[in-house]
Amino acid sequence: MSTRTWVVMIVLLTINWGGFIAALLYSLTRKEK
Amino acid sequence: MKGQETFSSRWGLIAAGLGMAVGTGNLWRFPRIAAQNGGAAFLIPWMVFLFTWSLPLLIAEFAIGRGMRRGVVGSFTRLVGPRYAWMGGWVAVVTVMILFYYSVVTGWTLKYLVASLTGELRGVEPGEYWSAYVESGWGPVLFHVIAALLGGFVILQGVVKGIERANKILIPSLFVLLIVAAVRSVSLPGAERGLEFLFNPDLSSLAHYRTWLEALSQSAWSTGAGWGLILTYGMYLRRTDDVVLNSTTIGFGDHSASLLAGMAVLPAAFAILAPAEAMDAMRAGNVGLMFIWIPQLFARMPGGDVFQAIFFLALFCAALSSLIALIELATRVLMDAAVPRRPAVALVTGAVIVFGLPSALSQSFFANQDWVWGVGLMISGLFIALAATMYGQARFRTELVEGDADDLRVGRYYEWALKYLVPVQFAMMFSWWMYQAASWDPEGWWNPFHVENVGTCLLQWGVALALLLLFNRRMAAASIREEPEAQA
Repeated sequence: MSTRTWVVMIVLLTINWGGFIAALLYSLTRKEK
Repeated sequence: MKGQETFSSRWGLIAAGLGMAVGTGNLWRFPRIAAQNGGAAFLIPWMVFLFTWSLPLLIAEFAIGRGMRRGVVGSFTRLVGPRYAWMGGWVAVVTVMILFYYSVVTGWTLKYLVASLTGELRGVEPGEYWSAYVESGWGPVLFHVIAALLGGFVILQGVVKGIERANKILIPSLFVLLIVAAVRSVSLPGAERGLEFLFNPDLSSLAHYRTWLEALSQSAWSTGAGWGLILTYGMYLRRTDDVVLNSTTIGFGDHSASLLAGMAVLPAAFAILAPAEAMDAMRAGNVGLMFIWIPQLFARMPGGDVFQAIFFLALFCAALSSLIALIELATRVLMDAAVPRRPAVALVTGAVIVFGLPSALSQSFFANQDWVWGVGLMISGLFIALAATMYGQARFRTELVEGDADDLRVGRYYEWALKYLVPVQFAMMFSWWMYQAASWDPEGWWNPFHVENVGTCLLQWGVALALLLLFNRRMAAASIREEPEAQA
């Protein structure tokens, strides 16, 4: 697999899964006002 | 409203929201459409439209549901006045028409799960097996009825014991199964060809308007934005639940599930099939890919029986969790009209069984309904944005979206997105699909009795709109009637 494919795959997975996991963790742990 | 149930936990709410959003479209449409539109190049506009169409509408739906504490019709009545109840009625009609055939789809996934577990698919020619199944009549009807009863049973238990509990099981299972399927797929010899296809961007595709419009349509259909389902779940939010945060979690969760599905399907297809055959599979349509090509892939894969069962279990979890949300939307509309939950669920389940029968018995009828109401959803999305704008987009943001208990703020961009971005995207997407439909059927584009054209949409939408406008006053009054007793 080309370097370009690796880079794009890692970037896209990081943005989507990173966004999902970050939002999920924040949702589950935030302190209610 | 007395005895109003709310989600009992943040995780329960997120699981229900993800269950609504992640459906069969993530597994059977996303990989196909991404493969046909430049792979990673398609993923760029697909991510852009998460922020310009899907998230603004998901946020609007949650905010309307939480603020108005009614189902779709009652929420529109309260938000923009009884004169516009028909707009909420439109959202409800479109989603309920989808519910009728989605129960059939859930039945197909259950049938293939059972067939995978019993080894019935072993050694058969998948195309012939599928044709024999759908043409048998009783087979699709039986599984459609089972799916409708299963969904109805969950909704009968209420929000916490039904929707929340079922999704707490279905959603983690779905993600684990998709991860297992994706790991198996990418570890096949030759899988890198599929990964290249999905992740090596053909940037020239970005110059084609088709890539952008397909990406927008996929985002709109996949995330469930504009369907009225999150609006319905929104009325079960606690005042302290954050609207923007939960919408973001659901939007990114839906995209993450789509990427996993792409990694489960495309590498396996390109590892096992010749490149031309793999592209044929991607062009075979949703049903063709899922029920004809996928069994062929697993038949040629070492350990394919086990992974086929895992794949169809994931597909069934995705379908059932979405079916549950669809049934709740219809049930809630009746409950707002003072029908208690138990008879409301019985009425809805009965209607699903009866009105789903034509789609269970005829592939042409199914294709017609999928086309007409799939495009109708875009109008639903527009109506939700219009309702927020009619309420006053600044007031909508400050009063309903950014409450005192909300951590995340959307700022002025959000008002602009609702007022301009969503309508402009709707106009582009809607006119493109109508233009395409006219080109599919150049001679008879106007004929309302053709399966997929402009005429059939205009006739069915026209009938729905005429009835909604005719009964608008009565519908508006019924939609905000107080329940006679606490409903759990």
